[in-house]
Amino acid sequence: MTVLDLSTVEAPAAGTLPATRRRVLRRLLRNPLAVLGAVVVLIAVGAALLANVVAPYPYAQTDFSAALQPPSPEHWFGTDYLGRDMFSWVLYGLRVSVLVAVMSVGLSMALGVPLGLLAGYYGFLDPPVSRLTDTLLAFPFLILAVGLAAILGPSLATATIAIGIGQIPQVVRVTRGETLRLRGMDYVTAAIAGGASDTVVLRRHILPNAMNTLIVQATVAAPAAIIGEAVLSFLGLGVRPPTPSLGIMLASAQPFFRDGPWMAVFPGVAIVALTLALNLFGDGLRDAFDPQESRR
Amino acid sequence: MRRYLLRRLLESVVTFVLVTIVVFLGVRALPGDPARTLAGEESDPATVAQIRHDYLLDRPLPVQYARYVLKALTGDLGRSARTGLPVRSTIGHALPVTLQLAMFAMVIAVLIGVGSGVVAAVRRRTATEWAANSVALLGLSVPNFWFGLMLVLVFAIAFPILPASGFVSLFDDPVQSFRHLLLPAIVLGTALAAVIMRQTRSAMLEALSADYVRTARAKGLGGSRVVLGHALRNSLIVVVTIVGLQLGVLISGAVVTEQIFVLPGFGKLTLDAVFTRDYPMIQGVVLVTTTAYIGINLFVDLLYSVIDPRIRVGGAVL
Amino acid sequence: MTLLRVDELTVRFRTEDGPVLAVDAASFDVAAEEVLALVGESGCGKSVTALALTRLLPRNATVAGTVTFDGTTLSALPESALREVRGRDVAYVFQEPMTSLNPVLTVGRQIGEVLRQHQKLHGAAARRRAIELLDLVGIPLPARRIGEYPHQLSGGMRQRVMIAMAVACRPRLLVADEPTTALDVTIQAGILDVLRDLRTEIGMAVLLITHDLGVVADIADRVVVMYAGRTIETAGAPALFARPSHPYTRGLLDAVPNPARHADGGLREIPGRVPVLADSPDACTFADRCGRADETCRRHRPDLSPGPAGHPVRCWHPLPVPEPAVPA
Repeated sequence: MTVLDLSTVEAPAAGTLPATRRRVLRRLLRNPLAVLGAVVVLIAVGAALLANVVAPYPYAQTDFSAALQPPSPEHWFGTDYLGRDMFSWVLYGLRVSVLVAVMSVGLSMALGVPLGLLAGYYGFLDPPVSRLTDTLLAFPFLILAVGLAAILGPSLATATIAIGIGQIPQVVRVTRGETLRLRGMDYVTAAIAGGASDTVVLRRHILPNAMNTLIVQATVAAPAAIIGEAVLSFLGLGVRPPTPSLGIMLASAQPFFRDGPWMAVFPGVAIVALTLALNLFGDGLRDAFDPQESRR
Repeated sequence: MRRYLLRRLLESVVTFVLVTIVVFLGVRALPGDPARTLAGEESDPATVAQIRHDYLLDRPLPVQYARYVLKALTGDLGRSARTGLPVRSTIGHALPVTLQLAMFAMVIAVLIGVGSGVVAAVRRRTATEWAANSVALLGLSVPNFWFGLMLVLVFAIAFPILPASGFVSLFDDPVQSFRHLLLPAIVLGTALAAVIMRQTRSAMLEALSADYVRTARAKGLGGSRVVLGHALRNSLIVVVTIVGLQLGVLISGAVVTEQIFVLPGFGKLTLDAVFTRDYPMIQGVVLVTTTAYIGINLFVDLLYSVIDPRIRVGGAVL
Repeated sequence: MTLLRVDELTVRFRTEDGPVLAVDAASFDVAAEEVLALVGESGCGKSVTALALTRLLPRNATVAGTVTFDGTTLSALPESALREVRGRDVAYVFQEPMTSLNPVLTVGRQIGEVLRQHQKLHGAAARRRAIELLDLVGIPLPARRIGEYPHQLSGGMRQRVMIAMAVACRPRLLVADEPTTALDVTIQAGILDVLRDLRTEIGMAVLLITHDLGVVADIADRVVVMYAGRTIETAGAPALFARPSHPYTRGLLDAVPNPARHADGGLREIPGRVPVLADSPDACTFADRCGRADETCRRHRPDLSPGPAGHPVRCWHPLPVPEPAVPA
């Protein structure tokens, strides 16, 4: 009996890295939602970083004669119970959001990626790393934050560490999965057979190829970190006044629900706009990296 | 199957031991002298020394750890530094509140999440799928505590039809309990629903393109039989796992939700313990949460094997 | 008597890389109780043809042409009416018994579903019938197997379960899509025996989709050869093996290991591969791989018309009828 599959096996065209990157960019630009997301993220991050230039009022400037005013041409988002301009406040609050997001995602990557690489590459390290991540996973995010706040006291650094540590298991899992997948690839096997050292294999062959997945992971982690910071600060476990944080603004809005509901609306809208934009951009990026997978 | 069970059980025990070590060391790392804390703010040196001796605080760390674990295993979690009441009974009073909230929220989450996930997968490339996806994306982007604030703003203040705070037990007055828990459960439930929806959708899409679904259609089965009897049945494995993994979100979400709606539950107890620096309470709360978490994850794994015969029968895990 | 008539069946897929023409105006008949083999390389459109008969294709497919089964125009039926036909009159056996059976349902349940759907059999009656069916396809200890899951069975057993499921309602036509390809050679013969026995016992026609000419020689009455979505030659099985008219058919036969044919023991391959077409070209689709091709082949579409051997062939330069072969 015979098999009539006469097609020859062709090696896939080895696309050079820049060309691949251009293709990803082109796919990304074709997706209007992803572009919209990117634009909103850039505007929000830019305004947040340049808050002291862009903001119409200094954030701490109080004006009791103008307390609890609804949105108007002078105060786009209204004023709070101390007469502070909510729009300026939101910009400064976004600055903290962005800062915590960048630092906590950086922290989780710095610790999680090496652990994931090791666990995926060296079989004997897999069980201990898995137990470690299981242990971390056994602490729900807020319980972890509660414990850290109890030990370190609530602060911006505590919030960053809590969020960063909370995201480590996910980073380890993703990196480990990618390492396992890439280790089975022919070119990695070839590199190992060619006598490349483990360090070289991990750094030159596995890590660069795992990068796409890690970038996508970061776009998932960043909005989660922004919401995480807001939640912690809202509960009093994170950033403390007078540092401006969107979470603190929402917490201080609660007693003024009747007299100044806008105080509770705009900081939340700012968080939603930023996280939604990040999610849209992240989804678009995932599709651009791997059109097959996401189109299923 | 038995070997798989045993391995999972062993893994859970190891994780549990690691968790107790972390909690134990965490409490040792707290600022201040635990003996003084236990004795109260204004106690004389003799009392502090007595407590230090009673609690083995003058002994090496491993001895302290062993004592801590033994006491915890017998259910003795110490007394609250603030109220002087046993930690165990305080937690015992708060837990039912949170459990009722969590159950209600879970029902909402599964109904919305699985329902819309299935619909989005079946109605591929239609306005329905687009709408379901958009709502899920919004759900992932809206912080649920803010969503809670907005619900209070609308349904308790602008149109006062539901209470903004307080708790009534289901067993005392079901109607009032429902009214009080509806908003918190929606807040907590929607936080989970978005994730469940996305996972259900992608699992359903995979299942719907599977060969066995084609077989089911080739047998002449009706659309709903194919979707529910074959595709969803297979997707449930993924969904159950996700629901299990969402437990951490549920616990974290409960802390936030109880704070917003002033529910006297486990989450509120946790936060109050932190703010009043009630260390025995913190220790107890963290230990109970993590133990429950490990236990429920184990339970989910077992459930998983009930749903998936490939694990239940023959023990061959693919 | 003609049971199934396929007329100008055309299937297109919308894909990311543009439209793909999978089946290009394929026409053939299946007579009652006959075994018709649809033969070709992978990618020639034979499986798509099989699925298109009862519109089992994925949503990105568009189907044109008519399919008539026992006097009913299937291609004009609404989905609900077609559902009555599937599994009852036209049943399917697929290539991969592992993935084609639902991993989380017992064998008995999966057979029972067909019985419930088409024969309104429930509970104990359905169970009894399912055991009978497993016994019919040669599964030992059927009463015990019925409670087992697909992963507990061997590949051959799984395929027997698929067949039992397919013949549960005594269909008039069984469509078997590469039923033996995923199986070990030793098990293939057993499955073919089951199909042969059932065909006589139930009196059903079989549309056998395969690329394996060994299977064709073993079981088929007639053969339709497909290439790049077109039917290119139709003949009785003995005639096709003895007097192939299309150069492609000849190529297929030469690729079969056959000591009688190749004195040197080597296999001859057809160079190149099946083209993926966006549209139906005004040319012979095999021209690029054909040694006999000339300008006519590249510029004009050949029709299916009686060739030198007396059976229909779609070729401008069909092979002459060979002299009676002298056994080597």
